[in-house]
Amino acid sequence: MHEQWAYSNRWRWIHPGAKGLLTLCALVSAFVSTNPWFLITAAVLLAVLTVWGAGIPLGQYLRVFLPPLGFLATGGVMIALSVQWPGGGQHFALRLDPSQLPQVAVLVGRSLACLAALLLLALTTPMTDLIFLLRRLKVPAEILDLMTVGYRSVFVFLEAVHDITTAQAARLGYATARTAMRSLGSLIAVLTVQVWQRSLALDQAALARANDGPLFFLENEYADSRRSFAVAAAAGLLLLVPAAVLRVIG
Amino acid sequence: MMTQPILALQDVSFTYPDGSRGLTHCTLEVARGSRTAILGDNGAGKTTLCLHLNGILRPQSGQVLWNGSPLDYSRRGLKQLRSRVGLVFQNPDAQLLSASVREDVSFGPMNLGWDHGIIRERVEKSLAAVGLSELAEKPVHNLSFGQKKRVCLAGVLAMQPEVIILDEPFSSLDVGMRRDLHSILESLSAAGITVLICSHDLDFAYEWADRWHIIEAGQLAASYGMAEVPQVFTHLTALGLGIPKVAELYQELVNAEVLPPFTASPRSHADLLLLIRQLRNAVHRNTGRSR
Repeated sequence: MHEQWAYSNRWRWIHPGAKGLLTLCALVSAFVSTNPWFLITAAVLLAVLTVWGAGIPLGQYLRVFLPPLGFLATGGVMIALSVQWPGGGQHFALRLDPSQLPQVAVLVGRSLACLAALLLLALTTPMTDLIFLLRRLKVPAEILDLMTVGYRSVFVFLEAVHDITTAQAARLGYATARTAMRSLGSLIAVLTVQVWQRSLALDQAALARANDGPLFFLENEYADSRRSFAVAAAAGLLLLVPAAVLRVIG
Repeated sequence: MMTQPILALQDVSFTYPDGSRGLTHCTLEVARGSRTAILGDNGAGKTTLCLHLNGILRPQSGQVLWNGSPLDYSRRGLKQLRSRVGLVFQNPDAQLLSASVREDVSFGPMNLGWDHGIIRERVEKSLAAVGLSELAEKPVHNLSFGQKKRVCLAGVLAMQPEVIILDEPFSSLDVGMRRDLHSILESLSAAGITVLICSHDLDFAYEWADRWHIIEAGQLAASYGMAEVPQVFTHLTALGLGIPKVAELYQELVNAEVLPPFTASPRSHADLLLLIRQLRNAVHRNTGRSR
């Protein structure tokens, strides 16, 4: 699971703010630039940085990177084609519209650059660090509490779903389409009750540890964060400046 | 003169909103520095009792006493109580709030508003105390059940409580993890912490505790010091608890005159084995000498 790499990559202990800054610069440069070559180069650079820099295995990276390309390809093709509806002596026709190709190239390039930028952050930073970053950025505590408990609960309920479906399958609960529907229904019913019970239990557990307000945790310490920010800012400028220059001259 | 109990329930009754019984006129005392086992069947009211001692539930009648004074249920009073009485629940997944081990352990101390430097130090010490220092960077969802239980305990230890209550700490633990937890409990008692354990594991309770409170139908049915236990086997059986295996076996061996009655009955399997081996060695020496 790619989530695991967020905890064990080489950039794990780089300040999440620095990684966030680089991602932000990359995203802004992708929106500023209208040059497909620049956008594709930026995407490749960001991907190389994530794979070689942070040490995310290439196979793992592609497994996350490739699925969105399906949507992108569909979108690109839809824009590149023009449709001729029947009428006025014309038949129905579907043909490639060359005038749309530059627009498709920018769309594809921009999407790839944005995807690579977001993956750089998502694959190298655990959710708990992202929540820490958002807390620093003064996101309201209620949203952060929901994110904290929500993220933790995802795994608790995934485990519950796995246990329940295994128990159901062991009693032929998914043997036919009909029983599968019934099993799925009872799975949802059981989980609904569990969500309710567990939310009460979590509330009691928080109270037992003297909590009476927002959830606060000790923040991680990051070594040499000033240097990380400087490097991230420099790398960000390397993307922003060419993007801006190309936009002005091109 | 008896010293003041650190925690006490006086005639406490509590019924849940759905009408199910929690506690009915329950009165009991917990001595400072003691190892108390709360025994009873499922549904007897053990967990409800724990929730009262930590101030999460409030008695509908009767009162809970801390060092002889009734609990203060104001926001400040509860915070103070909860900093002194730590509660470790049965299911770790129902109490770990953060996905990061270190963050979760820091949660209690953060709520107490301590200085961050002190919290950092306490978190590391607590993780070391439960043997989890090396897993502190791992996400909680990649830990085993036993490791998650230890994170819960570390989260309570970090608050430096005077009393620690553990609800069924041994459920679903394998042999190795039980042994580890047992030695952690020993070190807590050695540090002067009052430890309360809710359990239905009679053998563990006989080995570890110095007092048993037996809860039945929301009430204190009996309370025994460990020296009394061998004398009350019939009562224990009548309460549906059964008899600790070691005590039963030892009693049989004494009755059959295989073992002489010792002043202190062995409380664990290891103690009993040691007695038997010592006896066998003594017999060997004697027969060797008489030849």
